[in-house]
Amino acid sequence: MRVGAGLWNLQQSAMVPRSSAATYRGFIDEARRLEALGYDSLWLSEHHFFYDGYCPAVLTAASAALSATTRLRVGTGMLLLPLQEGERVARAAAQLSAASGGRFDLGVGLGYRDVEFDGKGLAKKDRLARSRTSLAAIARVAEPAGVTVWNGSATPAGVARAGARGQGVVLSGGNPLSLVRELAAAHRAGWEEAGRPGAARPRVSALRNVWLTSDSAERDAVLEYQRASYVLYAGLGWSVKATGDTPEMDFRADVDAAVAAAVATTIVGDRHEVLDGLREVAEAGVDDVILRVMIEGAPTPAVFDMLGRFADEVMPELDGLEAA
Amino acid sequence: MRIHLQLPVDDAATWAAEADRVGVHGVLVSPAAGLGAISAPPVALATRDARVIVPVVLGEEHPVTLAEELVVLDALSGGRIVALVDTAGLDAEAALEDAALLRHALSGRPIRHRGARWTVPAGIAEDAPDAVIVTPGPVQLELPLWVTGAAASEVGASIGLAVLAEDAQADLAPRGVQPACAALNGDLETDRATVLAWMAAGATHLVLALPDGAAPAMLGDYLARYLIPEAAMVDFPRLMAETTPPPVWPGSLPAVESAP
Repeated sequence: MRVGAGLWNLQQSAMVPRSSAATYRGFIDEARRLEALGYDSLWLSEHHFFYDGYCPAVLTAASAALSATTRLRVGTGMLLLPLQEGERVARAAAQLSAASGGRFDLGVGLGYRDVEFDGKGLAKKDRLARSRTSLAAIARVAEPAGVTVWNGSATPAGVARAGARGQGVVLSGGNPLSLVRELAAAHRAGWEEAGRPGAARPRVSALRNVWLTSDSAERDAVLEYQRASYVLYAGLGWSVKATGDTPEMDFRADVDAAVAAAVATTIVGDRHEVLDGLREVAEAGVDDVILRVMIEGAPTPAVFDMLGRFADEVMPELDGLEAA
Repeated sequence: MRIHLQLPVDDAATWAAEADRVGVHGVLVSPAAGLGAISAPPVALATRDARVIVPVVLGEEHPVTLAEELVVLDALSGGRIVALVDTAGLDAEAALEDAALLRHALSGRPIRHRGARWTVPAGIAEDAPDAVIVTPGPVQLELPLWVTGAAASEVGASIGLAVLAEDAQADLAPRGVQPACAALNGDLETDRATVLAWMAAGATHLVLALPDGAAPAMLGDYLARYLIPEAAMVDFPRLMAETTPPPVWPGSLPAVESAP
């Protein structure tokens, strides 16, 4: 199991006010520190027209992180593909891969906020068609240049399409483990039914809320920060449809229930509790985990202190851990 | 007149760091790098003080998206970005709409744009607001836009953007910032004449391309020593540059500043 960290949204929020220059200066420093701690990857996230400056240009930010590091992989989790010109995204991804020695991971998603489509002059109903066209360009230009493509989706049909293309998926941190299991299985089935394209099964990566601590006060604080972080999803208007055994998670219709469900996914505790939690994640079909630690308001020194402890105490135990 | 350097495509960050070290006012990311603000971060991170001039090609992306890339780069650079907007293949009318929308998107004002090429917001979604704002805003008070390309004159005149001049003999009628570009050939007298001609023409910023085969040492030993002083005052006393420099200080010198 490979371990990355995310999501860098690069916000200046109402709860954590700061300047955008300080945010991005800190981001570069954090990328270097993450690399020094031995993590595999850093993941960025994209939104538009939100009051907090949520990063609207992840390729530019990824370019900076790649140039500031030498080993760390940098990924977009997710770049909202229908909102951009696919040919240009493909060329940019190829350029970032070439300049970084193949360290760029291009994660793409459909997007869901009406205002973001409207602001770019697009109809949301066209997003799937636009995405398909762009994915064709990415397959033609970026993948031959060494770019690893990941897809973000919370539906079995969506992840199955990614599997059928031989591409990996990154699953949301808010997904309960039952949904993670279902999506991982759908992804694998999609790949198998398409004749197993590519040389190897494409990987399943999952954001998970993870915090290593033996301190009860820190444990309580983390859960409170997780709660606050998911209020953002209410502001953005995120929702996940019911699927299989997993009920709907709608941050617009019932904020409290959706936030509680997302916070309930958190793996928090000492080394043994965290390892047990991550073994469950692997058993659900997940190859790689992205620690969702850049949460709203959590002090950066505390985040990196935890990442350091995790790297020392947990990461060595994950070397042989494989997806079920 | 302030001197800038046009960077080569290869090893641009190394050249940019050296230009920054010797006090070149700004560096132009090579248009051949191709992707504007996506290609520029290595240069932004390699410099601390120099302005980073970024080619932005109209017509290859939505102007709002181009603005979003620029504001992220501006934040990464601590507010040192200048956009060199290329009208590229657009006719004057199209270029004007794109450039005006780009500038508006960088202003921090709500955008309500209805044009032949773009409608922002589109008004398709029922509950979407009637305007959007690009966030974050630029770190600078105003992100400078210079314009170049076939339709540059029309765009510059219509919305008041500085047009990159390429002919020192042309009637610039400069007002405010007047950027220009020229190529050096490595012959000191010729290059001094080039710089002086642009000063006389009224340029305020001159972007210089180095001759083929130049090495980074040329930035300190030639550009900074002979040409930047030439552009900094009228009748620069050339003895100041031509006198033999003092010997290198004995022993190794401690670093006085950390790298950017």
